[in-house]
Amino acid sequence: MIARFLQRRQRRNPCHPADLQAPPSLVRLDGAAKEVIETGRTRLVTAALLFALCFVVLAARLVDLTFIRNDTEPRVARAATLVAKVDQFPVVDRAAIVDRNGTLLATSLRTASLYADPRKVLNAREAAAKLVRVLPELSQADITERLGSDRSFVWIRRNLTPRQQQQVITLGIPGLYFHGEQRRVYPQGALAVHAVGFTDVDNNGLAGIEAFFNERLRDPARAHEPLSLSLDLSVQHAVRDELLRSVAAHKAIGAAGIVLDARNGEVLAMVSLPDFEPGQVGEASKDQRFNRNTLGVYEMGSTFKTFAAAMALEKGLVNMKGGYDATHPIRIAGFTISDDHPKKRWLSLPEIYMYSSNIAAAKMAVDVGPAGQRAFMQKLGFLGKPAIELPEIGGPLYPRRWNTIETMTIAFGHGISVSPLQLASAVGAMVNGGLLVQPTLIRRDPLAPLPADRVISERTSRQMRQLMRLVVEQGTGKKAEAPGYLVGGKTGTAEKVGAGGYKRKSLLTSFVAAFPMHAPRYVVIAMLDEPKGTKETHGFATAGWTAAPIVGRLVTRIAPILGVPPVHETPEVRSAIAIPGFNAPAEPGRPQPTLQERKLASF
Amino acid sequence: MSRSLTFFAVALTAAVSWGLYHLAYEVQRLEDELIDYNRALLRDREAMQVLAAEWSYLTRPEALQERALRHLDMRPLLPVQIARIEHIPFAETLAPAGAVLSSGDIPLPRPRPRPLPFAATREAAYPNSQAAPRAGTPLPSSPVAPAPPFLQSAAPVPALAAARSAP
Repeated sequence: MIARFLQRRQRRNPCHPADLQAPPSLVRLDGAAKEVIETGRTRLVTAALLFALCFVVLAARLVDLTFIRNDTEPRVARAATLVAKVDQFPVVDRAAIVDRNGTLLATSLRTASLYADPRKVLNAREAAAKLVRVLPELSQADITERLGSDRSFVWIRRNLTPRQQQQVITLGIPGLYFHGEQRRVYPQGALAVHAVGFTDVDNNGLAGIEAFFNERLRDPARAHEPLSLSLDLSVQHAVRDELLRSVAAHKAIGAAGIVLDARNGEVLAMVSLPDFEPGQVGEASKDQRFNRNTLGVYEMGSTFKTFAAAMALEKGLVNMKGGYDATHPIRIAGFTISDDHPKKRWLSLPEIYMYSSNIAAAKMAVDVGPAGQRAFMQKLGFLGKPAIELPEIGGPLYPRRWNTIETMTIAFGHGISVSPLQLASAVGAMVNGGLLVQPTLIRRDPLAPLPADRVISERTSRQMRQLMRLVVEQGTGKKAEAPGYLVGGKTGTAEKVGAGGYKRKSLLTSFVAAFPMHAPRYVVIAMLDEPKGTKETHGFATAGWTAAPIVGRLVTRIAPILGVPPVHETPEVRSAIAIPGFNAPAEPGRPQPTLQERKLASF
Repeated sequence: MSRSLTFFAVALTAAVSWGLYHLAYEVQRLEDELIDYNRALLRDREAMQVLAAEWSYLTRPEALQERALRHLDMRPLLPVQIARIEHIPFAETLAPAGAVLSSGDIPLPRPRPRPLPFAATREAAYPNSQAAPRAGTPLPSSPVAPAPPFLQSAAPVPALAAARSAP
């Protein structure tokens, strides 16, 4: 059959010698022969067109490759096209974190990590012996075992230094490879560790800003753009240095400190002690990793009288000349509320605040009532979690049943636990004219609107400033005085809750302050956990002796850094911060009230 | 005619091919150079990143404080040491400097009636610092800093006086 087919083809083929016997002009093509030639021509044209198409495609591809390039090509070619944009070409995958002045807090550096393919390692024992000579921190037995396994991938050591890498290369062991990696480095060490946080070995944020802004820091489009925090490292260091000194002097088990910009809520310093080196997270204890400023909630004690006083002033229940009788302790439901510095007489509001009277504060709060107090605490943000850019945030603890007794204890700071950060921002609202500003760890855009709510009036805020200044001039916070900077504040000494009630010996002392008091700019909080009295403090461990001096020293140190000029107390400044009859002469036309008269006034 | 045209065409083709060949290689060479530069740039930026980290480490406030305590006779800035420019008097209005200095006051006309309210020595300013003072440099015994040279003579400073008398 095939033979017959070939035979027929041969006969039909126009190129067959049989068909070319006569000159072409004499050939008359018609019928079958003409058809055959037409077929041949069509086939030729088709083939030619196909080839032409192929060449056009090739040419187009050539044009594409030479003139039109896109970003999906390999990096070398991109490096050539990115001449103009090479500044934005990120060296590493994770953006740096800097403080408000651009000082580096966290950055990524390229390193090499050593791994092995054990199946390609010829002699595990010998290779391990050689490796341990170069990397002495490795255990030889462990490496021998790993190199002897039948897996195809084992880590030997992550993040070698360039020198170590060169030494390993020089060993020339087959089956060892390097993997280019990036390592997070914290040049400032423990200084701001609780705010900045840390990452795991694969550069995923595990705590602090690193965790909260993990996505932002990993975003390739913004990897060259550092994340700018609101912290000021000089201030941060001053706070940490002073706290460390006080912790050592008073043998405290911990401390916390915050410096907050009262006007825009920027946190300039946030220190929690004990702290740790972010490079050695593994060795840090739970206590060291604990951020006392945001995660810890504490019964703050007398600093809460600030809010009791503000609440009563705001509601018009008392004015600067009014007061309450603090002669007798209050007995209610089996509890006794008494004063630490009992005056046993009627006290005016400035005296209540200055001498930190529990009895009067409790009476003031009862006048406001449980509902009013609860609403005020809600407005100050004490009943919710503070919104700050950290994952470690502790919610406040407050009584579910909020009746008269709870109202009384909350007035002097017991029965409600809040974090120092919440306290700082609420005190900021007390002194800055009455606006509660959301605290932030990120530098604020000065043009963006401030997220702020009015909690008290301008007038009440001015009175609160006067009260806080009085505490430093004449009350329990004299040791917080920083000459020239008009510090005002309030002490708080709380007994910590232990098994079976409050422990008299383990205290939590705090001092919350603002300066300069005629136009407050910064809020400062210092808190010591279980300070002990020393010879210098005559054995006292209360806030006035332990926490207040920290603030005094700190303000003198940080005010020049923050650009706050020392103030000379001109009569105008004096009148803004002083209360007539206390730290200012009585108003003209009115006799200077004496203590005796005011005592009689309670009758 | 047809032959010269052919020669011309061949010559032109050869010249253009030669030109294109060289152009192509020149472009490639320049691109390689550019890539080398960009690689160097990236390498340098990587090095800068390392150096920035190192700089940040070496200038930690803690390290600077420790070094300053060891090597410098300086104390933290105190409120009385800060003055506004308008507090500095013009030279001719200054009292004879000797009188100012002997009064024990700081030669700045700021009202400051009370004694110095701050720690006057380095040890007092940094009580728990372990740094020993450098040998041979006694700590200032008086809290009053020596007056700048132009305050030590009663005569007005020539430059300031000239500036004032100029119309």
